[in-house]
Amino acid sequence: MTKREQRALAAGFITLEDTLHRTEDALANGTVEQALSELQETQHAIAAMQPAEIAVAQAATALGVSEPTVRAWARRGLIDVIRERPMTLAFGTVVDLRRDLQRLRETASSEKRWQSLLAAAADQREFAQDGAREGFADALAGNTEPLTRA
Amino acid sequence: MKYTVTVAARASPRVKALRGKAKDKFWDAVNRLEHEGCAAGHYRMRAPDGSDAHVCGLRFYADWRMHLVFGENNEIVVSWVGQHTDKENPHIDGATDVPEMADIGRPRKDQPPCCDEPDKAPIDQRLVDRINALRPA
Repeated sequence: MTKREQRALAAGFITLEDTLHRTEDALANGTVEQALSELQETQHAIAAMQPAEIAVAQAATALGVSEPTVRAWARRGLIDVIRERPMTLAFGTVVDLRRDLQRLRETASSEKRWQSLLAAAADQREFAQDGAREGFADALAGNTEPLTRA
Repeated sequence: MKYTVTVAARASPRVKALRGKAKDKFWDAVNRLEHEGCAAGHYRMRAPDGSDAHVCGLRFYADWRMHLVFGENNEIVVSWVGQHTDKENPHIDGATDVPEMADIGRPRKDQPPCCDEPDKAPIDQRLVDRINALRPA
């Protein structure tokens, strides 16, 4: 780490410390809006501090999956690759995926909500097939023809 | 009760291109729709535009399916005909590594019948997109 990076990191931690302290104060005083605003500041501070890249092993730990899974997801474009050998990944895309995986795991804990989400995903795939959306639009617009058996 | 079955203009060439067993089974399905309405459909789907449109899928032969849009006055429109390309493969590269999400890629359970009301629970589109991205291409 360069001296410049060290200075930026130290400044980031100080900002983080300050905003967390203000959040605690706001919560203690019962000013929820102020606390939310401070938490947003905290998120900005974290975003400014985040590294550009992350190793596959670290990403696997963060995502709670195996390294082969992380590599497979990177090959499929779910995570951006910064360098191939050794493979390093774009930190921001790993964080985004981690957030979504957490939300999916939370949803999966409720059978009803999970099945609803899976059904919506399946319906979306049905309508992603060639011509399906166009036919639906025609049907709604009354752009139809009689069915005649040739 | 008699139902009128028509075809969406842009789905018409697909119907005309049907051949052999798929064609015979398609017309069997249309015949059932004319007499039974939504009872002849198989599963209710969410409309792709987020509206309350009554949309169903109907499997009529092997992996051949059609989409149906039910309108007023007992009108039914065949809005799409084609071979379903979704393999519903449970052995997904990666997704099975997430135990809580092992259902991703498996055939959906308890598809609501075509005549039933659709599931109206609000859906997070970002998570829907993620689920489909976690599936194989």
